[in-house]
Amino acid sequence: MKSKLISLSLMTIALIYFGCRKYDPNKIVSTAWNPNIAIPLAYAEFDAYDILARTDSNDLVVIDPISGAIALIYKGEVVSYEAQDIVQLSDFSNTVSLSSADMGLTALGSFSGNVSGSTASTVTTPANGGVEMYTVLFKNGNLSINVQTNIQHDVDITITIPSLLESGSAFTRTIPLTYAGVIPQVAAISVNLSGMPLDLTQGNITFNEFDIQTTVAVAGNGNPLTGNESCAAELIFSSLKFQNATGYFGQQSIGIGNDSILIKLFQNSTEGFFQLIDPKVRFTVENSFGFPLEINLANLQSINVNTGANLPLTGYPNPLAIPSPSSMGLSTTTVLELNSSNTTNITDIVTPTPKYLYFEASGTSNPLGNVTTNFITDTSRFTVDAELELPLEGYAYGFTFSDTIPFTFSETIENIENIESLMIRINVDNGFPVELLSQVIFLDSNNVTLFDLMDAPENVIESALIDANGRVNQNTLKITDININETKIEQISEARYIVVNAVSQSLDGNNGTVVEFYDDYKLNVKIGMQVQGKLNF
Amino acid sequence: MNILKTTISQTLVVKSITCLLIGFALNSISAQKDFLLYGLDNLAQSQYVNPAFRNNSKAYFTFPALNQSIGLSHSGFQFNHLVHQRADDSLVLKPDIAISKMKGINYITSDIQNELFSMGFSIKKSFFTLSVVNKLQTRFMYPKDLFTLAFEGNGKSLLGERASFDGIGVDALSYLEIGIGFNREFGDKLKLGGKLKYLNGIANIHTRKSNLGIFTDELTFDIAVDGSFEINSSNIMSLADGNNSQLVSDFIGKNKGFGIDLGAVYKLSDKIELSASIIDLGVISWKSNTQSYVSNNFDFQFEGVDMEQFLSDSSDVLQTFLDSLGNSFTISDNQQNYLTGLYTRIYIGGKYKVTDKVTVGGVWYSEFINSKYRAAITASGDIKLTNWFSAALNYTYYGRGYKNVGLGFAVNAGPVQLFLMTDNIIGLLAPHATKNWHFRVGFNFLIGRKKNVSKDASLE
Repeated sequence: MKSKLISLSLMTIALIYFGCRKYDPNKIVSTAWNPNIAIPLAYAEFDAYDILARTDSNDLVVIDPISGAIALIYKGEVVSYEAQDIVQLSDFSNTVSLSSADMGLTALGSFSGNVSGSTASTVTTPANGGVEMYTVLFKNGNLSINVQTNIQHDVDITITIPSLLESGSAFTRTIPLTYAGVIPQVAAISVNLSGMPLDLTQGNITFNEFDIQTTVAVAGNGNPLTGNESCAAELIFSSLKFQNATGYFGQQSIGIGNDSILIKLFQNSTEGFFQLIDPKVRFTVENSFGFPLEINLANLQSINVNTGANLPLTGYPNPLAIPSPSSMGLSTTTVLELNSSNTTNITDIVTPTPKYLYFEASGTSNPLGNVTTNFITDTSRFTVDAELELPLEGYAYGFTFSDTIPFTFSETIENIENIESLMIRINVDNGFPVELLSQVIFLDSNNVTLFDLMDAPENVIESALIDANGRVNQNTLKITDININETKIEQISEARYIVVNAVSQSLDGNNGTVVEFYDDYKLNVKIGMQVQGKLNF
Repeated sequence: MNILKTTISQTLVVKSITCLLIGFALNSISAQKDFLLYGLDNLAQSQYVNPAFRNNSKAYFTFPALNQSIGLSHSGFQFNHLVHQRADDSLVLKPDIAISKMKGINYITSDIQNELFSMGFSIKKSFFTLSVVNKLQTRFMYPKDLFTLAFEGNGKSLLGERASFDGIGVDALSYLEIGIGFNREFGDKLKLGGKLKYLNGIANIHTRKSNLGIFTDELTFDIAVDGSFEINSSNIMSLADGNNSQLVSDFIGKNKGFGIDLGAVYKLSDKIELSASIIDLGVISWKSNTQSYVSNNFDFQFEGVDMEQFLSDSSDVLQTFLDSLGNSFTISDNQQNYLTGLYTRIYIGGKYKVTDKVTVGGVWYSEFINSKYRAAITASGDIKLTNWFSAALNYTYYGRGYKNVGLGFAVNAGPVQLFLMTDNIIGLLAPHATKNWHFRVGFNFLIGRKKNVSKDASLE
């Protein structure tokens, strides 16, 4: 019995020992491990504003607050004329002389009495460009009065300008000359004209004129009179600036000049065609001058940036009448919108791009002559703004873009042999009625093609679908898988340039299908990558 | 170890990993569920699976520290699923086959019991026991998707699916159990037993909540990570720090718990006996050196780099990503006390006495791991060949493994009883080809043992 038990025990131990299979890790031979890793790389959501305003933040993307329709606004330079460009007040002077007879003086050995005399003179102010000034309220100005006499007695010289009001009364100044044994006796005063109104109509019968009254009073001091005495007063008006003025400012020619607006939409495209069905060129004239104007447009045309070819706009209304504001401090705004209804070919001249919209303009004041009293203030302006509005409603096709990007894969790809393939997945959920065909080419340092990223150009972005009005009613999701095999992966390190070629068009653009752009359109882009590993041990 | 000392290379790394996997597989074969012990109910240790069981002596005591039980189980895959031996004796790793054998959640469990002391005696129809047992039970739960993700990446079968790591975690429960048992015969048919147990927790780590998922969008490859977790621990940090001077004071008496075992045996007839038990029903309150980590319910979405931000300022992209990640995922810690339940088991068995020497039976075993039910079914037979030798054989389906053949012996030499058993002899003979491993050995000193086996049944 005991021997059987011992035998059974030994057999059990032997079974356990020999039954245990020995696994030596050193006996593990080559084993493949091929994990597949999928990771997101990048994402973005673009709306119309993001895309359109990204090219130049100075351009204006306008969204209709009611419909959400989008338009691009390209603005031209502002042309402006200031009040001083229309009416200038030049310096002028006037001298009044009184003889002994004018003053009632005769030769005497000794004169101790009092005598006076006066004279009146009319001053005509200088005027530019046929300006007929009726009234002026001075903002700035200086009146210098210089008097001189050879009378050997005390003299008071009084200057009065009835139409120049100072605190509501006629301007007057008396300059006393007290004889001190020296002749000629001289004196001078200076008067600030700020705030003083001057009437230049002589009682509504003329313009640019006013009178000066000069009175000389002599108080005898016993000295003799020679009978050849005289007295002179010189009035110098200088540094004149008006606060406002009335009159008739003539038919002055206002040279607005020329300007051009660069239409940047698709400016990177090398070729292509687009047509917007309702482009608008808008001239906005703001006038705070108190007289009507007439604006003449000329040579309104588009100039192709690439070819230099020009295409004139025809049929537009010309000239443009600019009315006068009704009173000082007001202004009028006049808008001339050139569109497809008042021109014959505006849709054509905006096509194709890129191009400049060129225009010239000139103006004339009081085109109907002197039919109403003009006015002007020191802040009066005349401005002309030009802008091109492109409501994004139309179609486009064949827009080709190409860009070469320097590329250096500076970082060494470690264990590149462990990558069997890459797959880059581009998800584009497109809410725009536009599609994009693209190809990416890798070049070496000699611009020799290493490989095309895709087997053939592929629609990376497919157009959203539209309703009968051209508005998008369904987004389109396009998934593009770009497979990069082992050979291409190895060639990436040799690449020095990446050429990106793309052709874009609106939905069915080559058949003239009109699409519209609204502010609720979105373009969602997600890029992911799938790496197929190849790890052999 | 020799491998680790060689030059680091890919091959070495793989082989090192393989070594770990070999150890991992070997250490996870077989569970200590004592299916065979349930059949050998004349052993004193059978009280640990059903307190209504009693041995056939008037009294017994065990030799301190000589009764050991070790059980390990891995429900995922067998080692030879992972490592294939070719005809030329070389080995090839086949992780895809190993993964195919896994379920959604897989368990690596271990159960180690050191019976420090045990004694029992009968008074008339009653039997009293006293036992002191040191227990260490561990569970590591891992999801299949974890291996799928590591082997396949997220670009194959997991693409468009949520790689679920829900339930991943580790539990470890170490405690000293002092039990006083009692069973009594009621009439000729019924025996009822119970054991009250005072528990002193030594160390614990408990994954109370564990949810983690990684979803990769099949179209965009966007990655979403969601989840939440809560992990409690007691005395783990002290063990890790090796602060032994404080260990004894921390372990003794601070983590108190109570448990109960209940059992019944009903003799349906002279040949048929039914039994049932519920073991380790109880809790431990952990108060010593507790440390818990709780996360928020995080949900992080990674869509790649924001192109618009990158175009405007590429330097902030990484920081933005880290900020976003940091804002999504927060962990708080606390030192609050907590409760854990014992790893409760339920046995329901039946026996049929074929002859006086041969008995056949079956056991239905149940357990719950983190609210997940696991079961085993055992068919067994035992034979009492002589008064001093008995043997038992069983077959168990457990842990998604069907290669579980148990074998055990009990030999009585005078008052000394020696027993040796395993729930899976295949685990000893071919550890690479099974999922469960178990071994129990011990010595008992029996007083007043009944001699009820005829001499005809002797092996001699």
